[in-house]
Amino acid sequence: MIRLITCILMTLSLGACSSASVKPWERGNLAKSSMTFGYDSMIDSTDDHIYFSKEATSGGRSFGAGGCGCN
Amino acid sequence: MQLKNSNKIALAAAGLLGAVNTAQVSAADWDHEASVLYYGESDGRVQDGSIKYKGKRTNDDDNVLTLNLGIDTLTGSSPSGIAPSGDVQVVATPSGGSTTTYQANKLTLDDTFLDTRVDLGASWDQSILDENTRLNVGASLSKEYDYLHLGVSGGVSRELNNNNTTLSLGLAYSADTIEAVGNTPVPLADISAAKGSSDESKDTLDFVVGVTQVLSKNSILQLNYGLTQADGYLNDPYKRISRVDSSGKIVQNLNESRPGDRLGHNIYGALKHNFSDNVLSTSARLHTDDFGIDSVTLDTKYNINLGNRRSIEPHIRYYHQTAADFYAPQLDATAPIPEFASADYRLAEFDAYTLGATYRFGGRKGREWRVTGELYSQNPKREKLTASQAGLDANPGFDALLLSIGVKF
Amino acid sequence: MAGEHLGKINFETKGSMIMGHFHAMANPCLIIIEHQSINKKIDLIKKSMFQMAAEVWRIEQKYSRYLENSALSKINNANGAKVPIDPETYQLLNVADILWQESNGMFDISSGVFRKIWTFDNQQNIPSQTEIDSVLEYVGWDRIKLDKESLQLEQNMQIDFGGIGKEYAADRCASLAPESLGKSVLVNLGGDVVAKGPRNNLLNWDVGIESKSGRKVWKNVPLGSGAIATSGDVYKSITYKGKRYSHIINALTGYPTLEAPSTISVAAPNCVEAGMLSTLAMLQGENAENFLEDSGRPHWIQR
Repeated sequence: MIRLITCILMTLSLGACSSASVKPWERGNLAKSSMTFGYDSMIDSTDDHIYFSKEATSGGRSFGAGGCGCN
Repeated sequence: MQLKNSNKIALAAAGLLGAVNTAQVSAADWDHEASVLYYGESDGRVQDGSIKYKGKRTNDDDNVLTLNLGIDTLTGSSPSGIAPSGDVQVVATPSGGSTTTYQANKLTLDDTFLDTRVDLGASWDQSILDENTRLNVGASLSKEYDYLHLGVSGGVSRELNNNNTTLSLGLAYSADTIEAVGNTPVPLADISAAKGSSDESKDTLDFVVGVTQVLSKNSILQLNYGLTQADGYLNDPYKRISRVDSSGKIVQNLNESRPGDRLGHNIYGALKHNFSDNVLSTSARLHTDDFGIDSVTLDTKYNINLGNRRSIEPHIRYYHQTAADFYAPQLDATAPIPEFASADYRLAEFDAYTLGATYRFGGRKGREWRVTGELYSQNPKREKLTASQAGLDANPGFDALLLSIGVKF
Repeated sequence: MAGEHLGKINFETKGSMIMGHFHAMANPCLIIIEHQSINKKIDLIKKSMFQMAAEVWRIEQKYSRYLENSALSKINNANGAKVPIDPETYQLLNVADILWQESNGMFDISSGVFRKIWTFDNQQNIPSQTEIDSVLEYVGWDRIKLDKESLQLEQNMQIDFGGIGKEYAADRCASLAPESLGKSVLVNLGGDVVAKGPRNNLLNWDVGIESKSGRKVWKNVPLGSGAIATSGDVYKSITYKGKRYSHIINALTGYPTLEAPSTISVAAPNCVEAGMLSTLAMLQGENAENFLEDSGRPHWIQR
């Protein structure tokens, strides 16, 4: 069987950029999970909870910790 | 040769495609995540094992329901706040009813902590007004033997500029109840004095406002400002502070005392940059509050794509905090007792370093696995004690190991 | 070796498209989903692609000639006994039956046994008439007993779903994309293409038909929704004594069709129909063009 090549044409030209606005078809790299804030929210909130128990600062990327009687 | 009957062909094809009726991938679909974690500190201090689960259900209308559940088991010992001394000390345990013996010349660790904590949370996220505006609401609960937390939260977010900018606002309120084992100690009273009420409450209000901005095809930035106001019982009912005389002898042990309210602010900035196949994530957070604690946190991760759904991500974090205004490793017995005093190591001045890495790989049926190992080291500033306690360190710091395995499925 | 490709998909993002590359039915395969908000949908898209590819792998494994326990092997190893079949297998055999009728017996799914003597890879000689006659003894769809619940082959007969299976898998794969991901879904199983709907902003997919030399695109066909199937033998053909033999064997004669086009591509509402037409057209040899004119379906032929 011959392989059909699927070619995708970027028909819209990029033109002049106004205020670095990224167009939807340019968002490929931004869609990567490692480029998404909060993608690994479970390990992030676990880390935040451990640091909250051992240090005197909480919060930053989201709310202050969900409360515990951590010693 | 003529095509006899093109209809016949079309019909045969239709018949085949209509024959097997398997359910479509359900539009209301669940994403699950689970993890197990081990945390262990050096010198026989705290060890924690936990299991967590998070389930997320997205339906056709883009509404998202998130449920989470976690169980933690805590064992090991924790610094009591009582000063190290050249003498053996026998003191009442925080829960009352028995005594603990602290060895001479050693950090006074309390090993009476053995607890299991359960936490539950649920949140709902949906678009309101238009597809660029979203509302989220949430509730959380956690329970351990001596502590109950109840919380609610709500927030809105709005996308602007072709999804290049997102503004968000959030508010959270917690109502916590502290039911100290053996009842609440009276602040600054002798540790063997009669206890106070059976439970105390603490209310916390958190406010966050933030913006996420796409800087380029390969860069995205997040800036948040947060405010936290806590009121009520902010003490640790199990922490003590010693009054020590000039000869290094412990004259009395008192229950610690902290102010009844605390207002803190923080600014957080994070940047993610994509370098062809790898991603750099870096963040900085500045904090200040009216306990007198100022801190800076710097965190960097670099995700290296190894191909074939595998990646490795080294991680370093630096943290520095100043001591609370009322922190002291011990009190001078000849001086008047201050209004607030705590020897809790977590309020001291220290540097902390984290070094670790996470390895991710893809499994069958689209599962994503994660293995994380991290080393944490807390290095406090050495505080001067009396001359006779020379060589003793009230807060030597500690190292901790964190190991965690997680899976998304 | 056989199952190494199962369960593996390599993802690639381009603009607001996610492409999932995987291997199935001895072919490179691709699913493309384009969506305005792929950031938010990325988990669902990847999960859906795994489920869509799993359907292709399911069909591949069910009708695999190499797996002893596959539904196909149970049929081929029955030694003349009656074998129970499920509705899916029955419908595939019904399509095979229509193809046999419409081609007047030139297309026959029991003719796979010819691959023993026509190997098409650097084959220097063509088989002798005696060799061909001995294989013809075991070919003959009219000798097969088929009803809605069972199939009975004569001893030593073998069937396979080449020419039908991949097109069916392409249609099934595309139909499993969830509604919430929209219509901009394209499935390409080694040349059999199905588009659920056009790309974002109603742009068509640009499907490139490979030139017969195999090195560039011969023609770009805009596909909005529907399917394109291609029959062709750029990689598998024999030139013997100046004559070019295509790789589709005429089951009545035991010889490959002479004067068949190099490639035939046909568009139809679904891939099974498109594949049936391109296969039948190939068997018409020099009459392929007329045959496809009669079908009323868009088609592209390279000679």
